[in-house]
Amino acid sequence: MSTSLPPILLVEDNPMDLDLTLRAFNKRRFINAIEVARDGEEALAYIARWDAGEPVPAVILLDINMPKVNGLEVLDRLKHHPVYRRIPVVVLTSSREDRDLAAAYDLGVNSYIEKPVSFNKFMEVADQIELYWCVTNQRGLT
Amino acid sequence: MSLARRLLFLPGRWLAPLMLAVFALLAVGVSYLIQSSELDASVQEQETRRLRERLSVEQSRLSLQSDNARTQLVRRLVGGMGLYVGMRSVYLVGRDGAVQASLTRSDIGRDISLVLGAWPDLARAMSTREHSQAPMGIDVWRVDGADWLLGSAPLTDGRRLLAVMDLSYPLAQRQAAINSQALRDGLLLLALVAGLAGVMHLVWFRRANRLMNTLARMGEGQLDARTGLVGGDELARIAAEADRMALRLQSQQAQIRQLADLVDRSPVVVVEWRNAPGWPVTYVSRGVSQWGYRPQDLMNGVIRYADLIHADDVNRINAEVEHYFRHGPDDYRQEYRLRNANGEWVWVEDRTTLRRDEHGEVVGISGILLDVTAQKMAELAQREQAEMLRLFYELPFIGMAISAPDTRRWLQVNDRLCEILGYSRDQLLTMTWSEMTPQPDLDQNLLLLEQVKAGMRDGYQMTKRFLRRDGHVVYTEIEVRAVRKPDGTLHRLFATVQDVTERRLANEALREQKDMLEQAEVMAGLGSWSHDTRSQDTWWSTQMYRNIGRDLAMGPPQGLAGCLACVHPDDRRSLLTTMRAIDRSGQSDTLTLRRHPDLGPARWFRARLEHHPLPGGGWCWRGTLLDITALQEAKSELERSNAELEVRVKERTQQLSLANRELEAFTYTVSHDLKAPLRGIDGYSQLLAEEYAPQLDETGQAYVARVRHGVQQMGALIADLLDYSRMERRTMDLQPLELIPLIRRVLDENSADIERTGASVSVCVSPMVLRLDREGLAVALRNLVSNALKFTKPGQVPIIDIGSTETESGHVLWVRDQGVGFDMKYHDRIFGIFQRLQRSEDYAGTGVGLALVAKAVQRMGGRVWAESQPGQGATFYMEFSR
Repeated sequence: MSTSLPPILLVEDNPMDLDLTLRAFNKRRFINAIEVARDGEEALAYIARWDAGEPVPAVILLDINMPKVNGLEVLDRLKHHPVYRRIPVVVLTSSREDRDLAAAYDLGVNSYIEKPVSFNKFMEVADQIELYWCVTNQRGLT
Repeated sequence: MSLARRLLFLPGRWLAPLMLAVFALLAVGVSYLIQSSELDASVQEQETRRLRERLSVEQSRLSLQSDNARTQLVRRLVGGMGLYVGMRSVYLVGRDGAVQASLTRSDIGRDISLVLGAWPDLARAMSTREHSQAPMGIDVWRVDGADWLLGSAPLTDGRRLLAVMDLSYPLAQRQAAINSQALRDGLLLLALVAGLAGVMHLVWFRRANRLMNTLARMGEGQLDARTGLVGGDELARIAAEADRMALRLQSQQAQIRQLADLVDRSPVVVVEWRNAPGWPVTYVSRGVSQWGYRPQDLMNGVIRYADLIHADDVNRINAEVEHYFRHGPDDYRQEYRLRNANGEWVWVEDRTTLRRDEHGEVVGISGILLDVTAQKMAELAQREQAEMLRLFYELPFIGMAISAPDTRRWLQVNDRLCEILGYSRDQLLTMTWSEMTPQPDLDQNLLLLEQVKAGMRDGYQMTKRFLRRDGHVVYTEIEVRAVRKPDGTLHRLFATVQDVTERRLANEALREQKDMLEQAEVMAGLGSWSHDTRSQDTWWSTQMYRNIGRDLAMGPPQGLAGCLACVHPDDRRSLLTTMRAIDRSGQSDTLTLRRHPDLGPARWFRARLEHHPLPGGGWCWRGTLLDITALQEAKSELERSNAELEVRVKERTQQLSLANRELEAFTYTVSHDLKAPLRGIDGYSQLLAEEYAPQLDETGQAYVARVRHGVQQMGALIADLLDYSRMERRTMDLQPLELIPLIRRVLDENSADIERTGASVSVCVSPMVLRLDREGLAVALRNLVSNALKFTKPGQVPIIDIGSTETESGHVLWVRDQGVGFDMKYHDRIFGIFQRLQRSEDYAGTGVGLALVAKAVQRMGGRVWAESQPGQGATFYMEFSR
């Protein structure tokens, strides 16, 4: 059963954040598999894998501030992709800069969430993300 | 009516002749009757006498024939007696009684008694006579019962002569005579009466008739009729009296007519009313036509007099008339308005007389109406003029007074003068003008007054001062006119007094201003000039001379050419070009020029020129000349330093943008790189607390909790700091914003806290749309609400009011709490960043909230302030202009 559920793609460069995020998801005991990309390049590499038939994620959680290719570039590429632009992308970042917000929404992000400092709050956020994007939300055809 | 009465009332001309005729016939009748009654006696007497005379004659005759011899003669004598009229028989009776002679032969010889026996009456008479009388004398007697006279005359020898005489004939004869006499008399009298009637008719009745007719004509009003009778009779006298009366009446009538005519021709209108329902007009003189009415229309009731009276006057008049009816007097005057036929109103004076009967009841009214419109209008005009004069006198801008020349006392003053001098009217009237005039004005004034008194002048004008009651001096211009008595001596002085203090002050100010202007010209180095092309007059201001370097005593240069000569030769061309351009366009222009080098060291001027057409042709050139030598020198200096400055500005700008970028990078870094480790600390410390709780003792767990608390504090601080910096940097997106939904949203965001604290929040905001930044206002409200929730008194439930008011300058939004409040001396500090008035252990917080509110409001162009007292709650206000 677990295999039939689409995974969640988490793009995060900071190892501590990555760890905490995974832990937060684990704590909530969600059943979707979580795939991880450590930077933008890796994230974009997923496109080829999806083309090859790997399951397309239910939602992509995208950090913005990353080395090499940053989150906004990834978002730009994804949202200009003829097929994968329908994958919901949630920016999960510690930036609350208007600049970043505006740029993300301009590029077609589906949601923009600031990482809370409190771990408890972070867990709530993870909970809501999974509930909304993996359970409630109807996926586009990909 | 009986016949007698009818007769009695017959006209005299019939009655008199008729009566005369009757009386005459009556007299004739009576006379006839008397004669007839005396007829028998008189005839008997006459015939008796005749018979006696006859018998007497015959007696003597026969006595002579006494012898029988002469029987024949006797017989003839006796026979001759038969010739007498009426002699019926004559007998000569002898002594023996035999008839000796008779008229009848046959009787001769016969006894007389026999003869007489044929007539028994006669015989009886004979016998009685013979027996009763002596047969001595001649006796004649009447035979009773017959118209016979029997005469007997004794003769000698005893004989007797008997004569029988028949009276029938004389009787008949006398009767006929009487009858014819009476007829004659009657006819004569009738003829006389007729004649008399004719004469009377002619003489009396015709005149009477004429008199009567004339009197009738007079009665009918033809007073010019005259009887025309002359004579001394009664009729003539009556006629004369009638004529006299008519003459008098005629003259009186003429007089009346003349009077009526006079009335009609006079402006007076006479009207008479009768006391009857509606007070009908019984007489109106023709003068009423002056108002366009005909007298008959008023008299016939076609026009009702009462309808002509002005509605405003009717009630007053009726009331007055009623009063006069009751209490008199019967002669009174009234004034009221009447409408004339043109519909205009005329004023009439009604002099009324009431006519009363013996019981004192009013039977009629006679009114004499006089059109007094002109007088009334004149009176009104006069009153108006008087009122105007009074008003004029009381005009508030000029003082007026009348004074006595000798005592110099005010006799009459107007309000304005009182105002100017600061005294009340009553005070002024007890004062003299000389006592309030300071020297030397008084002497000057008195001198002028003396000249007026001496008749050298009729008035004077002067500028003088008065001492006001409050001790101030008031400058006035007075104008005094003398009013003289008929003999030329001075009677009164009429004066107007004008307060010129202000004008004086204004003049002084003007002069001062002029001086200042000149000073300013000097200070600015601004000369001004003008030139009239027609008169070739040139005027230069003082500074102009200084600017150009020309001696003031020389006066301005001659004409435009003279002016041009003062200009630097190199600048003349541009000056002329400019002037030509102004000539064409009519607009003023400026140019920079230098003075002629001969006039001194180089000097730069900014010249401004304009020209205006003169009313009679030609132009007036005007201009200013500003000395800009210093400016010109400074300009080149400035240009140099400007170039330097520009380089420096460029450098600084670069530095600044670099710093800005660095600041941005810093905040970005703070947001990211500072928060990431914090999250790590928090996450792992929580994991530590959860997963390694058994390994940690109580103290260890407390440490972990403190670590986490510190992390949260720092997270909040960083978040607030970022918010603040964002608020400072972000561009405001001002757009129409509905306030109430926004407040709802903010309250919803805070709903957890509100529920937790059990706070009561009331929103009383009028629906309004403000042009603000949504985020900015939300931040401000959010912080204010969370502040209000936070700073509550211990153990109290927060009570928060959110409200709005409109002020003249804009909309004010306020948030009020009943919390701990603050001292107003910290008012300005609370809006500063990191400023806290409470200890952080009492009230958690970063000290950024109100600073953020202030920043947000300030960035939206609003104003924020607070009102509070310690322990009394606080109210935070945000004001946004409309």
